[in-house]
Amino acid sequence: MHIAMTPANPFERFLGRPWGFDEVFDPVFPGAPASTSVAGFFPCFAVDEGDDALTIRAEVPGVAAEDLAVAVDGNVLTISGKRESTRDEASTVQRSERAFGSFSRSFRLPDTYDTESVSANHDNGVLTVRVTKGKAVRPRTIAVESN
Amino acid sequence: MSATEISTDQRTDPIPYQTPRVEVSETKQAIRLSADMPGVGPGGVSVALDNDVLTLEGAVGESDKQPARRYRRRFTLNDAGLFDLDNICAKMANGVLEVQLPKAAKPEPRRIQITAA
Repeated sequence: MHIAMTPANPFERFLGRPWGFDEVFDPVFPGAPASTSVAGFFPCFAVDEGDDALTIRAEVPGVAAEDLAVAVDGNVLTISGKRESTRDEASTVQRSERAFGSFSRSFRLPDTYDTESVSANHDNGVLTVRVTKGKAVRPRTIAVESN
Repeated sequence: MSATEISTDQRTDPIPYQTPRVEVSETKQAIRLSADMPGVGPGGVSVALDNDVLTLEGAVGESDKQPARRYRRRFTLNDAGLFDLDNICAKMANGVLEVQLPKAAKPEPRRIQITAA
């Protein structure tokens, strides 16, 4: 579902600065108002349950690999990290929609999942964590021994 | 074909564009745009300038890791003449597209020769 929000004045100039931008072709705005800073970094997560594995995807563009952590404690999986600004100290911000800071999300995994099997992959700003279902939980036949 | 016959498992409409969040910052030398396009690699991004409209686009195809996605955002430069358009550069890393728009150097004052008629 798209929520379309047009800016109040599509030809709004940035406080009269000569180097500003006008956004003319921008009908869909998915978040905070354009000219204010967003407080707190809340990456989007997607959780998919497949037949034999759970896949958790976190959108973390601009987060360095060494600033990401995936930890398992019992059956709680925690994905955490931080995004730091790479903006030049001497620059002035004209528009700030990207948030910075630390984040942490925890997931309680049902007993059906094998917490020893957690794997994580980070590519193009997306962290993908995979947990497979335990073998013991999958349907299996038991051999009957007769004496 | 009546409206009730539309099949939901055949997706014929194109993937809708998402609007990437951006940060725009300015130094004495340039304007810098950073756009979040998670999932998009360097090969899936394009930056185009048509007169005074700058278009940033990114796309990533469907994979076992994630669904297909497209991003697009356009900006109109208030005064294109203030920029050194030939030296616009862009780089894509870790799902973030960074575009640098250098400002044009102020032209030096010069004298114009007057030729006799």
